[in-house]
Amino acid sequence: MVAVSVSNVTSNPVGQEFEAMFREHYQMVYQTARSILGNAEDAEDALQTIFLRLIRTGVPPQFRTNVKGYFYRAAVNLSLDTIRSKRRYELVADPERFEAPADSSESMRAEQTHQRLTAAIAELNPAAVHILILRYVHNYSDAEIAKLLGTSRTAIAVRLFRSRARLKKLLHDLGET
Amino acid sequence: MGRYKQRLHELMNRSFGPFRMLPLDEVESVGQRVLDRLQREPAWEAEILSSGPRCVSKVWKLRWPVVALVAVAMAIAVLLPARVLRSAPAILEDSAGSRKITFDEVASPRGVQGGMLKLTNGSIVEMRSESELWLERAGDGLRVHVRKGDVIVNTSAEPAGRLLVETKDMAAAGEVFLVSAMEEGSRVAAIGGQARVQQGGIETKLLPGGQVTTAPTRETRTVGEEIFWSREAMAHVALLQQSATTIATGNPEFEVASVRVNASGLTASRMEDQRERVAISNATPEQIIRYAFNDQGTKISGPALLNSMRYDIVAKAPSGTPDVQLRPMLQALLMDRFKMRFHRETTEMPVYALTVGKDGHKLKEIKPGEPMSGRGSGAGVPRPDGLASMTIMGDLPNFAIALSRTLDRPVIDKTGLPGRFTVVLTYLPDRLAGTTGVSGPSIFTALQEQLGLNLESQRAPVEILVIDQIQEPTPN
Repeated sequence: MVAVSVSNVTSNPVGQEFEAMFREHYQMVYQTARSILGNAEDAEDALQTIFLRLIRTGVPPQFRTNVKGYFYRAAVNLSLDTIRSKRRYELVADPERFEAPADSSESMRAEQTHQRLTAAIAELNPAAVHILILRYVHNYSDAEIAKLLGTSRTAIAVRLFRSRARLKKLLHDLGET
Repeated sequence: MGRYKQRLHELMNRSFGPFRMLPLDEVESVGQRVLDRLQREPAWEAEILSSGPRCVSKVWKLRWPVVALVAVAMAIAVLLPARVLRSAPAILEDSAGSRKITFDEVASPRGVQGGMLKLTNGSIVEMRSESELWLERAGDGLRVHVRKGDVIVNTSAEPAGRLLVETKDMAAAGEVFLVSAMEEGSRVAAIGGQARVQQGGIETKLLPGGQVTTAPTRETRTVGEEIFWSREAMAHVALLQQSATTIATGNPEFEVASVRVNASGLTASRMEDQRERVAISNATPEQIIRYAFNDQGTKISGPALLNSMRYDIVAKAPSGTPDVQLRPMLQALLMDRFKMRFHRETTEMPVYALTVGKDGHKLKEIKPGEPMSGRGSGAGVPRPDGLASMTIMGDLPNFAIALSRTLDRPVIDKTGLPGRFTVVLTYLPDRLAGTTGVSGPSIFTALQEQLGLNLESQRAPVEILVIDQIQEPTPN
């Protein structure tokens, strides 16, 4: 984790508290969304949407019991929704934007692999994606995942096993493995 | 560790590894931008962190009107003569015979053949097997609510548009059209005449062959494929073809046109139309469509063919054809040779608003009468150091269009700055972020630092040109 400084301190005490909460969690939310969505613009949009919803609609009743878990789940769920809705309006980009430097073929391949992987992940149950992202992006252990998601370590291990099996099949269908 | 598990581990680590440690400046600038925007929200100073009360008070406020509404509804139900409720606005004919369908009764055809629902106003609703719908009274006519399955509505015998057909998330009216209600969403497709579709406060007009859906995960098929189950499928397909021909022949045609695949592997394309001739070299169908419709700004959605192939086109117009007619003729050629079908729709989607930063802009204005020297490049041209460079000489709405193409999301100019400017922007393309040996500002940071402009994430109605169908061209 890197230390991040965001300036702009508001004079409003409630705003200050919300800003403190934003500072505490925005990096995790952005990193989660960025890892699933693959690009900075959509991830920024997801970050803004999640906090904007809280501002506009207020916090849900169980919010206080697990704030980090709430933000993490929200980031994963919103990112999955974004991927699914993008299939509807998959905008055809200008070919010129793909004119990349000659040595970028490796990064292009990596981007395509990531897109196929996230397409497969979007087919999984969101609860399974919560676990996979915590394991492979945030490097959490089973125990840490269980604590954040409020469940048992055994349940995490079982879900992880099933998720990998399902992912294997999905990736096979996509011709990735 | 099992073999597949190890390969999966490797794949996951390879794919997600780069996101474990994001560049500090990227995370910082994103956080700052989002926080700035959140602080401008009117609700920022409200008691957002005290859970519950706002929701509870809303429910409390709504309780009395709801109770009153239920009471009124019960009174109407008791007082209305029973025969009014029992009146039959439609007859359903299926394999079991024919029977009357009353208001609010769920109608579903028996047997695999489906059924024909004949309404008293003359409209006919063909119901696919296992589909379900019910009828409701509307102010000036009937309303059909499709709960499940596919129906084809034909209102040609009644004043067009009076029959409203709705699903859980869409409402449509028109002449001959398909309505599908699925668990994951709905689909409306125009077969004959124009269909109007309402979805989330946005109205879309569909021409024959056009369709709109709220089920993003459903495979997109042509309207002809969607209606194969109909007993009148042949007649409907003929109607579709007739409509398409009418659209295509609305424009005069070229005398001679040659369309060939260009397999040179080059990326540069060239297009010109003058002196009764159109010459296109090495262009993708999307580029040809943009050229034919003279439209560089609208987002285009459609099949992969739009950018997977490149073509050369040489077309000769009849003698005396004015230049202004050439692009409409190219549209007709796309519909004839590429079998292109399209419709336009407006949908609310994420956009970026281009605004002036709090410290003012740093743009270099081109004074009236001053010649525009040099050559602009709208797209981000790659440089040897890995960064991309964009040069625009023109007004800011055009700059916003160029940004749209780079960002893959529409950009709307909200700077309010009139006039023309020379804009030079150098940035690190997003997909190269984190690549060893390449560093530079993101396009967001570059806009702020180099031009004093911001990109703010917003949602706004955006027009999309939807290519419903396009095929490899027929031989010369």
